[in-house]
Amino acid sequence: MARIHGKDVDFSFDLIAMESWLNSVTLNFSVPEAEITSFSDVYGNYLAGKPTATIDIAGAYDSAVSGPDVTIFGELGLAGEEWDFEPDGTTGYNGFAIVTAYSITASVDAPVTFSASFRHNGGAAAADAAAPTRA
Amino acid sequence: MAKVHGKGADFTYNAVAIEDELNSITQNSTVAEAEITSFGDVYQNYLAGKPNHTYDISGALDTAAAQGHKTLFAGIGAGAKTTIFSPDAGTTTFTSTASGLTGSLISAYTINLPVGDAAKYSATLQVSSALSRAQP
Repeated sequence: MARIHGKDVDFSFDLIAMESWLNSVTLNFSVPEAEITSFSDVYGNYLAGKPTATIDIAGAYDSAVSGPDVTIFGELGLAGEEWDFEPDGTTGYNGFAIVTAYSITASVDAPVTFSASFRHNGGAAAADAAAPTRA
Repeated sequence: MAKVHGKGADFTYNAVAIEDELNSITQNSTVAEAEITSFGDVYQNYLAGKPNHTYDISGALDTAAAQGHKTLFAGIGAGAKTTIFSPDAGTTTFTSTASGLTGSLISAYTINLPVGDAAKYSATLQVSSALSRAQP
C-alpha cells in the first residue's frame, strides 16, 4: 500500500453510499484515560478504558430520494444502522452507529451544505458494544 | 433532485415568509446519547435518545410591518408557532406545526446596528416536539 489522497473515500450509512455528496469524513477513536498516579510515581500513570468511535461527515445538501438527507433525518432517534468508511475506497472500517447530530445550512452566497455526526455502538449489530471491523 | 445553491432557501415563521430578509439559515438536529456500557463490553455502548431540533437564522433588519423583525419580536414569549424551512426553494420542507405545546419557540433574538454596516438581526428557535420532512 502507499500513501493515499482523500479523493477516493467511500462512506455509507444505512447501506446508502454517500460519497457522491460528501467532501469530508473523519473517523475518531478515543479511549478514556483512568489516572492511577500515586505519590511515589515519577510520571503520571494511566490505564486505558473502553474505546469508542465517532464519525463526522460533511458535504453538499441534496434532497434526492435515497440520498443523505432522507436517510440521516429519518434515523434521528432510532437504533443503530450499518456504517462503512473506506479512506482509500478499498480498505477501511465498518460497524453500527446511531445519529447524534445533523445540521443543514443555507447561506445566500454558497451551496446548501450539511454535516452529521454518528456514534459507533455495534460491531455486528446495533448496541452489541463490539469493536468496529477493520477490513 | 440535485445539489443546490443556498440562494433559493425559504423560511416561514408564524405564516410570515421572511426569506426576503434572511441570508443564513441553519437547522440543527441532535440526539441525546444514553450510555449503556457494561463491564463485559469491548467498546463503549450507547442508545439513541429523543431528537431535538433548533434553528439559527440571521439577516438584514427591516422594521416594516409584517416583516421578520415585527413577527419575530412579537413571538418572544408568545408560545409555539409554525415554522417551515426549505433548503431548496420549496422542493423539500421541514415543518414544525403549532398545536398546543408543539411548534417553534423563539429562544433568542438579537438586533445589531453597527455604525459601518447594515443593521442585522439573528434569532434562535427551539422546536418543541417533532419536525416533519416532506418531499414531492
